Amino acid sequence: MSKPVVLLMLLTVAVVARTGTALADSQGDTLSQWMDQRGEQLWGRPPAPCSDLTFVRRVYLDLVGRVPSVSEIRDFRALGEDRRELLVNELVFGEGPRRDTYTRLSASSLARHWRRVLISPGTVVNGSVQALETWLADAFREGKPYDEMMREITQIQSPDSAGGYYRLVGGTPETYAGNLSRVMLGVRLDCAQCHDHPFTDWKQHDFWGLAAFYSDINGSIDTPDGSQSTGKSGEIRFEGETYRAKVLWEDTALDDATRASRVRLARWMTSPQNPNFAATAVNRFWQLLVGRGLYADIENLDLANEDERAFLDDLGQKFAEDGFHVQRLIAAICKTNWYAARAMSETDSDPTFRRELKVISPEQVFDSLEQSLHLPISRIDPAAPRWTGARAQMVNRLGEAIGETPEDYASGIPQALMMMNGPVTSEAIDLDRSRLLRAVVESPFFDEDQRIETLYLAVLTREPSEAEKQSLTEYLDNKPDETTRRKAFGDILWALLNSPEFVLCR
Amino acid sequence: MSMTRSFETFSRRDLFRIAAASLGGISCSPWLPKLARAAGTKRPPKACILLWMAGGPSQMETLDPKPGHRNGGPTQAISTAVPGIELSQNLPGLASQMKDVALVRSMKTREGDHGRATQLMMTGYRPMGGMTDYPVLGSLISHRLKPADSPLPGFVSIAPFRFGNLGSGFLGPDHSPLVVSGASNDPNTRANLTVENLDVAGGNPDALLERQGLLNMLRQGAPSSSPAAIKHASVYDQAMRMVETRGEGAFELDEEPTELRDAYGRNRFGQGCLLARRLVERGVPFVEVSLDAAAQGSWDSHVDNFSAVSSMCEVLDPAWSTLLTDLRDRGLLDSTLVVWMGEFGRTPQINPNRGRDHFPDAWSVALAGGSIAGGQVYGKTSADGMEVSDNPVTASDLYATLLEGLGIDSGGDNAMGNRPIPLVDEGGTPIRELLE
Repeated sequence: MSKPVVLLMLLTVAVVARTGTALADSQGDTLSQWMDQRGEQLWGRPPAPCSDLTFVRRVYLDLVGRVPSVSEIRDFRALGEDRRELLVNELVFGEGPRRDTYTRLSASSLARHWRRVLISPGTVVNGSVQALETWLADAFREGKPYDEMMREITQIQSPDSAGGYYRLVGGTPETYAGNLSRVMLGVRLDCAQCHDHPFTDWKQHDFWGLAAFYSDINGSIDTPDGSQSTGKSGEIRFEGETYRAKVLWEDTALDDATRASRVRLARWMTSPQNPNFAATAVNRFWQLLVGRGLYADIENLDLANEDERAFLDDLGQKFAEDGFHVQRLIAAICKTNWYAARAMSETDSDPTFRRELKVISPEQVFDSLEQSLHLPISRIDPAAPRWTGARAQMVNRLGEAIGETPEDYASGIPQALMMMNGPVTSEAIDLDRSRLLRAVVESPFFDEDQRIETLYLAVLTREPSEAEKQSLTEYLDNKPDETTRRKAFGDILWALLNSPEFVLCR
Repeated sequence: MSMTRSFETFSRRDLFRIAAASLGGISCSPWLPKLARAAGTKRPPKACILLWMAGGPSQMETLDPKPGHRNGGPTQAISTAVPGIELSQNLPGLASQMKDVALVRSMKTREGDHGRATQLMMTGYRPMGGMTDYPVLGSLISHRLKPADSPLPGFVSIAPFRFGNLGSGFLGPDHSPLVVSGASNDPNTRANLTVENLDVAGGNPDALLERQGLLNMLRQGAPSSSPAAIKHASVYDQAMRMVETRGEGAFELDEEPTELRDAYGRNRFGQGCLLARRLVERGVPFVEVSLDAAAQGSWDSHVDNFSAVSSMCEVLDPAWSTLLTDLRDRGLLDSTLVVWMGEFGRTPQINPNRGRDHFPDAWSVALAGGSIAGGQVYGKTSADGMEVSDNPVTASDLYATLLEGLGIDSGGDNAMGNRPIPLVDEGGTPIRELLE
C-alpha cells in the first residue's frame, strides 16, 4: 500500500473517532467517571474530598497558573450545586465572560509546564527557551492534539523546528534521542549511550538506532567524543561502530532509511503499536495535576508493576481514541475524586493513594503574588513588577532550585531569603506602598476579624481557623497604639506569604 | 566595633530563641555552648574544603607529569619544596606548598562517564540505579561536624558546576548545601558570590522575632508528615538564622585586604576560595568551590588539552596556593583538610585533536591540611601513565582516608530510617601512610 493511502486511512479513522467521542463526552465527564472506577480497583475507595476553597485554589493554580482572586472565589460560590464541574469547564474550555483571559493563561501555564518536561531541571540549555515556550503555548491555545505536537517535535527538519528544541538540549543526535525517549516514552536510554543499560533490556544499538534518525540534521554540533555522521541519512557512527536507524522494541533497522525517516519515526512514535507513548502521555498529565504520576517514576515506565501499567495502558488507549484531546483529558482528571482528594490522607488499600502537597512553580509564585497583592499589571505602569524586571528576578532565583516532581520542594536558603526579604515582599508589607494592605487596613467597612479573613482569603484561599483568629486577635491586642497595630498587619501578611501553605498547594 | 556587633547579634539571637521556644514549644539553652566557646581558647573545629574540578583534569599536566615520554606531550616537570617530588610546570605555586601537600597518583576507578563518575566521586558510592539516595561528601561532613549552635549552614557550595543533580540524599534538608551563586567572573555582577536579601524586609530587625512567632503559628496548620513541609521548615529556620546574624559577615569579601584578594585571583574561583576560608573561620565544616572552565577551555580537554589545562591552572594555582598559605597563617591548616579532585583523569595517549579523553584507570588527586601527612607521594603510575603500578586507590579508600583525616571513624554508619548505611562503601580502607 502506498504511503498517501495509509495516511489517508489513518486520518479517516482519527476523524471518525474524534467526532464519535466528542459527541458522547464533550467535557470529559464520562472519562472522569471511568477513572474514578478504574482507580478504585487499584487503590480502593478514594480519600475524603477536599474543601471547596482548597479545590478552587488547586484548579486556579493548575489551570490558570495563579491563585484565584477574592471575586473569583465569590463567583465560584455562586455557581450552585455542580460548581466544581462548572468551574473546571469554565477554566479549561473557556466558557463564560472571562473566556479569552482563561484560554490565554491556561495555554501559557501548560506551555511552561511542558517546557520543563522537555527540558528537565538542571539541563544546561543552549540558548533562550522563549521560542520553545511560545511554540508550545500556540499549540495548546489552538487545541492541537497531543500526538500531533509530538509528531512535529519528532519529525523536525532543522535545529530550529518546533521552537528550537533540538538546539536547546544540546544540538546533537544523541542528546535529542535521549530526550525524545525520556519525554515521550518514559524510557531513560541515556545510560545505553556508552554501555548496555545495567537494569533494563536497553542496549547500545537501541540508543544509537534512535539517534541515527537525526544524523543529518543540519547544524548539529560536532563534539569530539560524540557521534559522527557517515554522510548518509539514517546512519550514525560512534566509537568506531556504525548504527542504522531503528525504532525501539524492534530488532531490525528501518528499511530504506534515507526516505523520510523522521516522518516514519514520528508516525511510529504516536501510533497504537507503540506500547509506551499514550501511557506516558497520560501519566505526565496525571502528574501535572495530581502531583504524582499514576506510576510515580514516570521516566522509568518499564519498572511499573502490572496493575499500575494496566491502568495507564487503558487510560492511554482512551486518550488515543479521543484523538489525544488535551483539554478534555485535563478536565476529566480534574473532575475525578482522586484530583479532589484531601491532601495527606490515605486510602486503606495497598498500594495506597495519597495526595501530597504540591510545590508551585516559580512563575506561579510570582503570578499568585501579583494576584494576591493587587500588584499593578499594566505594561504602561512604570511600577508594575511584571515589567520592571522584578518578575524575571524572582523567577530566575526560584528557578535555580526546582524539584524533579511537583511533590519535591527543592528551594534552598537563597530562595527562602528572597521570599522573606526580597523587593516584592518588602513592598507588600509596607502600609504606605502595599495596595492589598491599604485596601484591607484602611477600609472603613471591615472590622478587625474581617481584615484578617480578607488577608487569608486573598493569600491562602481559605478562612482562618478559630485558633488562628484567636492568636491573631491577641497578637493585635498586645500592640500599644493604633500605629503599631496597623503596622502589625504587615507582619501578619509577611507570615501568610512565607507560610508553607503559600508555596505548597494543599 | 566587632565586639559590640557580636554582642548585639548574640543577644538578639537569644531573645529570638526564647520567643521561638515559647511560641513553638522548643526548649533548649543554646547560649551555653556559645558562651563556653567565647570564654575558652578551644582548638579550631575540623573542616574540609573541596576544590571540585568538574570535567576531569589531566593528571599528566598537573600532579603526575611524564616528561620525556611520548604520552607526556610538551608538558615539563618542575621541582618542588620537597626534594624528589616534581609537579607539572603549570603549578609553580603549589610546588612551593609541597611540604603540606600529599599527592595520590594511583586513583583507579571504573566510571568514565561524567555523570556516573561525578556520582561516584561525590558520594563515594557507584551509581546503582537509584535504590538509595546517597548524600554527597559535603552533606556527610555537615551531618557529622556541623556545630548545633552555628547560624551558618554546615555545607556551602560556591558556584557549583556538576554533571548531575546530587544533594543531601537520605540525610535530608538540614544538610543540603547553601548554594552561593557565581554566574560570572565579573566581580561587579549582581549577586555574584554573595547571599542576597539578608536585610530584614521593612528594615527593622526586631520585626524578625514577631514574624517568626506568626510563622510558627501558621506552620501548625501544615501537615507535619509532608516531606515538602518538613523541608520548607528546615530551609526557613536556616534562612532565619542567617538573617539574625547577617551570615556572620562571611560574605563581605570587601573586608579583605586588596593584596590578598589579588593573590587569590580576581575571578570567581579565586574569590570563591577566599570566601571558603571566611566560612571555615566562622565554623562552617564543609565548603565546596567548583572550577570547570577558564578563558581558554575547560578540564574536559578533548581538544587542545595543553593550552586548556595551562589556562585552567592560571586560575587554579594562585587560588589553591594562596588558600593553603592563608589557612596556615591563621592557624587553620591543621584543622582544615583541603581536597583537590575531579571525577576522573584523562587518557595518557594524546588524541588527533591534541586532546585527552576520559580516563578512570590511573589518575591523581591531592590532599593537604587536616591530619594529612604532607610532603609525600602515594602510589605510582607506569612510565606511560596507562596503569597504576603501585598502591591502587579506590573511591572508597579515598573516602575512608578523608573521613579519618577529619577525625571521623570511617567504619561508622549513617541511619536511613532503621537501616544502617555505611559512611564508606564496602572495601574502603583508610590509607595510613597519608595520615599523621
